[in-house]
Amino acid sequence: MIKISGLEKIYRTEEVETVALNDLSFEVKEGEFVAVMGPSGCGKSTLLNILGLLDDPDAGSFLFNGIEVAKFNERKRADMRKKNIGFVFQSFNLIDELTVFENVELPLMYAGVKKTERKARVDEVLEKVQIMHRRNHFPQQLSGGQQQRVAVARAVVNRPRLILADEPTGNLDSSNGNEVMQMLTDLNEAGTTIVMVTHSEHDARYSHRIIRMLDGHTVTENILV
Amino acid sequence: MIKNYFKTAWRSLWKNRSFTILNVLGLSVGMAATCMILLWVQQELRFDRWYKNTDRLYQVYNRDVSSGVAYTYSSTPNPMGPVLKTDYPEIEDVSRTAEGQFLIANKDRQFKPGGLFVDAGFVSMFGFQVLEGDASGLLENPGDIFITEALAGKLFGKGDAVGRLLTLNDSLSLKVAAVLKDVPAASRFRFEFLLPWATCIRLYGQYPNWTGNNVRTYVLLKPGVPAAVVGSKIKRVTAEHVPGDHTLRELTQFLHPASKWHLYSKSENGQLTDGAITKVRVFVLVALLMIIIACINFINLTTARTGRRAKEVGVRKVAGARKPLLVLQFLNESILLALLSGVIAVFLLSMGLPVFNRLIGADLKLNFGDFRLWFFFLGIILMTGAGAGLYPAFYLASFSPVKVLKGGLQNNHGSFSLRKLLVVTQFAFAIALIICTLIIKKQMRYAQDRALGYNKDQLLFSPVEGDAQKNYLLIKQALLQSGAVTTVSGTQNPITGFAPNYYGFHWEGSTERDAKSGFYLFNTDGAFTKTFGTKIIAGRDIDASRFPADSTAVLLNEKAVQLLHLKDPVGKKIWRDDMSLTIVGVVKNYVSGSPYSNTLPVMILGPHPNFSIGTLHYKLNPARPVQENIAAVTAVFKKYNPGYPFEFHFVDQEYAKKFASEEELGTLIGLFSALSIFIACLGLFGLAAYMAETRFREIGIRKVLGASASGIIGLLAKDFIVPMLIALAIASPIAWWLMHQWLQGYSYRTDIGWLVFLIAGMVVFGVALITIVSQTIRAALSNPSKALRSQ
Repeated sequence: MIKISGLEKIYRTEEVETVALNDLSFEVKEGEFVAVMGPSGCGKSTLLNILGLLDDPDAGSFLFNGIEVAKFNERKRADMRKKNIGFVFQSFNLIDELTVFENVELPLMYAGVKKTERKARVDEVLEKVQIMHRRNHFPQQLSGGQQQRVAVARAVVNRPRLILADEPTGNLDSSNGNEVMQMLTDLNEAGTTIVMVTHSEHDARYSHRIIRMLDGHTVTENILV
Repeated sequence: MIKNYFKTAWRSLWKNRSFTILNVLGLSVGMAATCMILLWVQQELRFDRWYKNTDRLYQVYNRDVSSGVAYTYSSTPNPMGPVLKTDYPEIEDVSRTAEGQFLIANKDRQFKPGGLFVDAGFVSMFGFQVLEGDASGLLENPGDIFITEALAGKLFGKGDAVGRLLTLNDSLSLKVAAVLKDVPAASRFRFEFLLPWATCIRLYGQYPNWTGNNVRTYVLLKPGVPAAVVGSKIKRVTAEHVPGDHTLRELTQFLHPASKWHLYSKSENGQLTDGAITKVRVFVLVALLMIIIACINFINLTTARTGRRAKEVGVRKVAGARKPLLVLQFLNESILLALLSGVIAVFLLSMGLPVFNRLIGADLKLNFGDFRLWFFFLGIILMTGAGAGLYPAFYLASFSPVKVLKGGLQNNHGSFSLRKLLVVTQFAFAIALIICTLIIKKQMRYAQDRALGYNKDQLLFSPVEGDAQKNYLLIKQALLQSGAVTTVSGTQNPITGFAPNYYGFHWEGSTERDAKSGFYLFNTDGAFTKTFGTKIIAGRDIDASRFPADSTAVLLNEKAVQLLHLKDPVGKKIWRDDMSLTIVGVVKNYVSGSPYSNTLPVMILGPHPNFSIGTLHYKLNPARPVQENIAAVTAVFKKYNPGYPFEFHFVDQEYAKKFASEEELGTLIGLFSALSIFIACLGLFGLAAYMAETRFREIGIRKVLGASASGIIGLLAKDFIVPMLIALAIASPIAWWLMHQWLQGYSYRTDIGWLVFLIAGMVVFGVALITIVSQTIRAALSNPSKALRSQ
């Protein structure tokens, strides 16, 4: 599903040049659950942004389902993103002004799904993440665990083939964290490819394979399953 | 999707209520002010353009040259109208107009309305609506009168008016031939009645002379006739009828189209290029700037709060939103805010319009039944929403999701930014308006403080009309005997009123060029200096009772003496046509006409047969209460002129009316400068509050390190003080230039000076500082541990 080779990303300011990704290459197959680990500043998040088509690389190739997307323009990236990719963030990133239902509904609206279908799909996914009873609440009325469940529901409502999770349990206690990891595992077992950036060895153990990064490139790969 | 946008927008506005209130307040005040001005502008632009034949109607103007300078004037010779109608086939109809004010009575119901003498076709030429009576609108019979519905109501109540009889000046019987719809405010014609030209002849006699300009002449061209063709044909019409008059060598006539009467009525170098259009342009600019100031608040407050909206942008982009959709969403929010503000603005407008009307003497109305008004409001709302929202929408929608979701968006303060530029713009405008207000007020005060040259204290005048004309001497005598007045002087016009300008005078040693010098003529039947308190500086006052030859005596003011360039004028002769005058004295200059004009050369004639007595000036006895004096004067007039209601005017009040136009302009500019400061300070209030909030941690750290509260306030205020200084530096030269140009319109004018700039700067600094301190003081006084805990 994902094949990157020779990926490079350099951040420049007036005084400093930081190499975030340095000749990075790896593959993720359809249906895989991959954890990316490494110390802060090793380029994990940059990688995730590029995989999520939120950012573009300075050099290298990025094939998504066999299509070269590294040089896609913003319009094509947005199109590819909304059809194929779901995101789960550490800080949930729910919109405070929208209810649980409306937050989850958002990707469907941008995808142009009709209202009746939207309602059915949002209800279904809210049911699945067991947050249906809070569907009309606003994010600030929920606990952290509940907010992350809503974020997961939003990430999967569009039935993406790939979910990118950036420290999904980083702001949660262990019990809520485990719940979220179990949800991701369930999604993966249902066929969704997952790439997760994490600092937690515990969370990484839910994955099939761990890619360890240092200074913008992979150092080791551990196959767990 | 749109519903989702509205929902998000509404919730966002509700959640950030203080931000919303600031914006709604600013936008609604700005929109109400803009609507007010635009309604007035619309009326100005409609002025004299709604007549039935506007595109074919023209007024005959004259252009002449004096001392090498071309000038224009609109009064024309009496016989010009009929000649134009008979001799020029391209002209369909002609009407002359001459103003008149008469006592019109239906038995006991007496009024003194203003009206016009007109030629027969006047009503149909302009298309004034006939409500009752002769639908053709032709006013031909000498005994007929047309009255407006307002006058009909006053004279006859609700009953029919057509066919009923009225008396004019207690002597002439007239039949109401038609009732006309009241003349809309957007017309140059102000009349409550129309009288046929034949009545004018009956009252004042024929005036076949081409050398006097005492009427206005309007022409209706035949369809398809180019005005330029007729204009060139009538170019010398006056001169052609006065052959051999070399003073008319450079006099020409031209046609001025109805669509330009109001907007282009002032002459500049012999061209009608100025007039209400200047005021319209200035106020359109003010209207635009008012709304821009309000929009700047929205832009500044929205972009200052980007941190709060950035996450939402990031999430929406991640969820698949593209930039155009996000732009639309944010625009939607600003339009919703503009809509809310628009509703409040309509309320403010309906509340404020009567006050505005009173201030500017207009008659603006909000006709909520007119769908065009709603389109106008909708247009203003959409324009404001888009104007305010476009930049923030693009700004917010352009955020990179990667940066904003990682919290990489930082507010930068201290450096130059668009926000500061916008604050500078707002305050530059406000400061410029304040400077303009101060200079207008200064000019007014300067003219008001001008030494009048006569004493208006306790000086009154009353018209001499009806039986007062024949009982004139008895009235004078009775007034003096009553003890209510100390002195009386009969004149043709009030001293504060019109003084006719005459040229063509000759004197010993005068040249041909001197014949073109104009003198303003005033007349008196005696006691001029005693009644008016003017000072004789040579010779004596006119006194026909002691000097029977004083019917041809003349007093000159110093300016007139200067124009005559006579070294020792007393005893010298001046003559013109059938007038031969002897100079008996010289008085000190006094203000005649506009208090803003240079001193005019005035000739004060004695009881000359060419000049009737139309006004009686009298000085009340200061030893007695004013009310008692007035009662005694009333009794005298009632006794000798029972047919007319007694009318009196205080000269000081009449003189004060001369400042009405500048008073109005000063009040308007003052009002809008206050509103602009209010709106700008709302923005400043929001920005200062936001700044104090975002720099809360910094303030905490500074305080821990030893900063004082005043030091913190100074630190926060500094960010705004520099833009204020820049605004003052930008506004001052612009306002100076504008006001310098404006003052050129006044011969008697003040200098601008530097004080107004200092005052304007201090006012704005003061208000801005209070606004900033009110917001920053809380942050400066807060416990620093709170700030550090929140880290």
